[in-house]
Amino acid sequence: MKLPGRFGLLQQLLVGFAGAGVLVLILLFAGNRMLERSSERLVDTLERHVRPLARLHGLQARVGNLRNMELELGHLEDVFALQSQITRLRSEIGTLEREIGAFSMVLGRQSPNEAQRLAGHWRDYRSRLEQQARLAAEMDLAGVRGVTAGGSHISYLSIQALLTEVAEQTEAAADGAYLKATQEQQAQRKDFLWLVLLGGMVIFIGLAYSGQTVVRRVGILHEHAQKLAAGEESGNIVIARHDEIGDLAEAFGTMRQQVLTREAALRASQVELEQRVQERTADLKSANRRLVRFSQIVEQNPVGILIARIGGTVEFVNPAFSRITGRLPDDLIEQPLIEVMRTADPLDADNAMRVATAGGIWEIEQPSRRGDSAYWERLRLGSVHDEKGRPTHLLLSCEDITEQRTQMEKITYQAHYDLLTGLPNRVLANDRLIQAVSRARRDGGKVGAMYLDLDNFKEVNDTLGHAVGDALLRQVAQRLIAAVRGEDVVARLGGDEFLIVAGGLVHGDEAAAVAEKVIAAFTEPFILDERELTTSPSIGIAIYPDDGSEPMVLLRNADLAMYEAKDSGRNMYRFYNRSIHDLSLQRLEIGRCLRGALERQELHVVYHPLVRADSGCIIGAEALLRWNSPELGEVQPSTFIPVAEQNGLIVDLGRWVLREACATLARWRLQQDSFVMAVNVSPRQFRTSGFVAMVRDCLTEFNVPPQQLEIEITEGLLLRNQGEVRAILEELHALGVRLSMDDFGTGYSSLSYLREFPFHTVKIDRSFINDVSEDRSDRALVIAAVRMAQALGLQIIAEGVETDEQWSFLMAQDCDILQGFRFGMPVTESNFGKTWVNARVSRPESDQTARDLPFIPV
Amino acid sequence: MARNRRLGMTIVLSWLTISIGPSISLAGEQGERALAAVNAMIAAGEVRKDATIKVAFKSGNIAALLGPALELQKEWEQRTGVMITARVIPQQPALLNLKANPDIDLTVARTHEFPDLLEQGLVEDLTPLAKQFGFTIDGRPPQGFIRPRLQGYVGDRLAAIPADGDVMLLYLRLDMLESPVEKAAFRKVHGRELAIPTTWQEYEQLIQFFHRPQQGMYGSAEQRERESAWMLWMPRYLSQGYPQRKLFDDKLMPLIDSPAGIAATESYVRTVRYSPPDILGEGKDYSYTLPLFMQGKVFSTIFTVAGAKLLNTAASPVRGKFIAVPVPGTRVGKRLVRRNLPIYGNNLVVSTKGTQRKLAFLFTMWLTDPDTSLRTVGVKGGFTDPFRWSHLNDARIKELYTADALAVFAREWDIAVLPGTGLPGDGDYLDALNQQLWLAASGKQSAAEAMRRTALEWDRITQRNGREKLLPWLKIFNAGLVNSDAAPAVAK
Repeated sequence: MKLPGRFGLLQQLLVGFAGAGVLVLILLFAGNRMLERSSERLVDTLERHVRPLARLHGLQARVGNLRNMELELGHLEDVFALQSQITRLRSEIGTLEREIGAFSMVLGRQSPNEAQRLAGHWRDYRSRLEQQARLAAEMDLAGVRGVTAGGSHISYLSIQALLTEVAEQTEAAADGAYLKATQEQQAQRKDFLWLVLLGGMVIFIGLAYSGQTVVRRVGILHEHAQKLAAGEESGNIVIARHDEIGDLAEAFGTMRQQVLTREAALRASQVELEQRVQERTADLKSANRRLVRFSQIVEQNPVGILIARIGGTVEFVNPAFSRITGRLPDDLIEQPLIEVMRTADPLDADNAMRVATAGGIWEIEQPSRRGDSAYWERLRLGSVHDEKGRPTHLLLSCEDITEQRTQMEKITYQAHYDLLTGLPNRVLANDRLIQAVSRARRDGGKVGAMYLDLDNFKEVNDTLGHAVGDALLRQVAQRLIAAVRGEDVVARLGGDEFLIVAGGLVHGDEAAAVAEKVIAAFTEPFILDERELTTSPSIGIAIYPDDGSEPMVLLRNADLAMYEAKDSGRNMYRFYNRSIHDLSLQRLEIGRCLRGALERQELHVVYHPLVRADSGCIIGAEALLRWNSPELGEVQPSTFIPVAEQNGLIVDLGRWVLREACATLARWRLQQDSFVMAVNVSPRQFRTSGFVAMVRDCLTEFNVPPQQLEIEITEGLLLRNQGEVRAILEELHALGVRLSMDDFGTGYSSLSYLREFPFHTVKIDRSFINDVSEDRSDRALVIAAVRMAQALGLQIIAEGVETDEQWSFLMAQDCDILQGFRFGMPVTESNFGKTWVNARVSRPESDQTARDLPFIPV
Repeated sequence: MARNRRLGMTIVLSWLTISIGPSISLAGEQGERALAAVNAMIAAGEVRKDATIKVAFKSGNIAALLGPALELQKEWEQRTGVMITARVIPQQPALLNLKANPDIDLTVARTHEFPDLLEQGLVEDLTPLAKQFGFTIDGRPPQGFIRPRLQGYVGDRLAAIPADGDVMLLYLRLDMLESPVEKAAFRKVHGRELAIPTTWQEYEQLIQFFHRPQQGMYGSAEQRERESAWMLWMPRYLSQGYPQRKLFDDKLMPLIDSPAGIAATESYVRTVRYSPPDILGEGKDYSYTLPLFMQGKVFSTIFTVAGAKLLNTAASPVRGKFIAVPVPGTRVGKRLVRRNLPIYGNNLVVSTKGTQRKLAFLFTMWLTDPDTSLRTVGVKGGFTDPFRWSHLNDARIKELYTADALAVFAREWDIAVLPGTGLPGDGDYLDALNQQLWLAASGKQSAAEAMRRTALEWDRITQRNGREKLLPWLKIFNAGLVNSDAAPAVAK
């Protein structure tokens, strides 16, 4: 309620503020006037002194900058920085041209003489700078440096000296103006301070009076409020004067009553609340125990578990997660889940979170790192839902699957690599060959498929055991890798078979160089358990696209060529060609027909006489195998024997021939007691286990004296496995059988063989005898062979005798036995028995020729 | 209003970046996409508005990459608010510069330096960033990069963004070649027509013919100082075999101590005598040889296509008097084998130690946009050479370089192979080769001795660095010699 005649606090404050405001306005007016005067002085000083000075300093700095650019230009180390430096230099020249022009106009009003000098020096300096820019554009940096060190230096100094002189004059004038302005400003400040002091005292007195009356009554109110807060009885408030403070005292009394009433109600509510809190606390304890149980399960789980918010930040990781990933919980908590997952593709992580949030399970196996070590991990991401099925969190599990992966990689390796040698196996070799062919097809090059087989590996395995064989294969693999070119592939196809894929060839002949290096790599013996072993390779080469456009065809053709190399004497390489293919087909056909030929009685033995050179007496015969095939006709021994040798039929054929020969010998001995039967034995048959026993059985069965059976072997048999061959020869020798070296002179003709092995007879090859009449060197060779055999106590048989002239010559050289068409063609048993057993051929006479000499059986 | 429009554009382009993903960039689109990505990152609070990219370029690169008056830097800063602070680094291997300046975000590296930088973890593999921001390093005309597999990749890892195509060209004095007097004299001496050389042998004959030191004219000014010896030796060596002449066999044994290596070195050494007398001095690089050619003191020089840009300036005394032709080769059987390689290549690499790697990558994305890069390649006298097919068709670029030089430049990429050795420790291998070549060129040892010693030293380096560890790098390098330039497929 507003009482009449009352002078409220608002009116009191308005009167007080009005008085203070008038005083402040007076002070502001006086201060503003003083500032205006000061500002006018500053503007005057700026216009007359400071601006010219600043412009001068700016000009000096720009000229200095220009000089620096000029110096830099001549010493640039990179010609590609020249153009930009020239551009900047020219731009700076243009800017300075404008600024010096403007400054000269201002300067000209006060000092026309200096302005004229400045313009002159600048023209001179500018022309030299432009000259330098031209030289630099022509990359003549020496010329640039020449100008810099010469004329431009003087021009630059002249400009700087003139600007410095003008600057000094301007600075002196500015100092005087500054001193005067300072003095005037100090006087004005003194007057203003007196005025402020006076106004301040008036305001202070007014405030002190008003404050005293207000503070006393507010103090009474404060005292009653404190008692109310402390719950003490304070009684009624009595405050005089009808203003807002009186109204406040009355309202305070009313409020005191209401506060006391509400306090009583609050105490009752407090008792009820405490009871509810106790009940809720019991519930929470129960829930907490469950939580601790689940927490321990997660903590001790060997699978790494990470819980993240739906937003993607990590909230929890268990120790297993840290152990697997190698990252501490502090490094993971509050990190984005996308970064923690470390997927190679961030989009994978995005996708994972989408899948998991939608209620699905996302899973990945990926390589990762734990500190410095790498490992494989399997991540599974799903979501956790609240009671209403809404996703609240993401759950990431992590497992270390390195061991599983390692096992898988090991299996993959074993599927593609030969465990013994570490070389690619047949599967991978085929794959590499296919790749090489594809590349060659695309690039227009050639590929060499080189099929390699060790020549006597089986013997090594059989005689020295598989451990030595395996060690040999490992060393062979190393030598092959060292021998081939870096881009070539060496693979082991199985057993002692290897494949070399030589890609990127321009000419097929390049494969020959590789093959020669491979053969050369086998020259040195292999050292196995301090034992030296010698082996050699036979290599067949097929070239893409010449010998086939498909990898499998190339492999087959290389295989065929390899057999050709074997047949040609081993330790060599052969390129595949059409004839090999044809020959191969022919051999297959022969092999097919030859099987069962014995049972079908297509084979028969013929006999060729052995004649004493001095007397012409028939002393024996050589048993020779012949084949008359219904399908192929008469097949030459030189054609079907190698096939039989290769497919193993030679063992059965050889046994049959030996038995036939022994049976025949037994019959002929009835007519000629000392008759000798010579039988050829192939290398394969010779090495067959039980060969010696078979000979012994044959002799026993047909009751033939061993010294009347002569076993003929070729020189090539002695080249390999000499220990094994020697043992068999020694056994035959002990049995009493005669041993003959066939085709002497066509192979190595090693004297040492004759000396070291227990031979009885040497058969000189027909090729020497053919030309003995015309060729002096052949004559010399035959004489040397005869002398050598005689010196060693061996019997000599000369093959291929066709003329009397040859007979005479051989007789003159004391050759023992002769064989050849001079005496007739090989004939069947019945014919031989009728014609040749116990017969004699007439000796040649000096005027007779081979045609004239008839057969004269005795 | 303008601010609202810009925000709208940012959102649209960000959406395009995310939804369309990697695609072939049209002119300008790549740059706008980079800018949109930066602004989206700022809007998302991923980077601060006042973030700063620290770049370090060599003195010749600053104007070429940021603009002569830094206008490209200003434009980037105005459109993104992201500042660029540039510093000048010395002419030395990027490996040393990155180690000496570990705080930088972006710098340049030569193509042959990538394996060292990746192996030592100094530069980012940019493949994930390129995928994230839809930046396809495509090699297809008309907009794509020129041979990006050669200029930016190590295997399938994107080591750098190509920004400077640097295969070599042979520069000859056309006026002298066409002079009737010279033609007659040459025919008289050599019995054949004076013509552009196709083999190193013909090249030697030609520079011998024009070598007239008493008249102040020298036959050749190839860079012969020690540091760049490998650059001019490599094309001689690599052209000695077909389809490849390798530096190492598959077991990393050096192949250079061979008739091919000795022949290449002999060719390199024999031609030194037709150079100015102080050509072997330290620091006599292209800043020494190019001025000689421009001032008409030598008949020939070999340099990148940037040479054409310098020699064709209005102030050049040889403007209109020179011709750029393919580098010579070697006859292998009946086949002429030529090989070229990017000897410099100022490609942009992002440091692994930098704090603003994403921003630095986006800056390169913007800078190498077909439109933006026209401005870097078009800087007069600048270092940056065409690195996109579209550059070769631009009328301004043709005028700057001459259309003929650009045509030869484009064809030389067909025979370009990876430079250097491709192995970690490349710097050591090349230092060893440079030293021995320089000694041979100085007459202090024979070519055979140089190759023998280099091979020994290379083998020592290989053993020191671990042969087994280097073999995968060699495989990548050898594969790169015949690799196609299709960008690697992006995994979905």
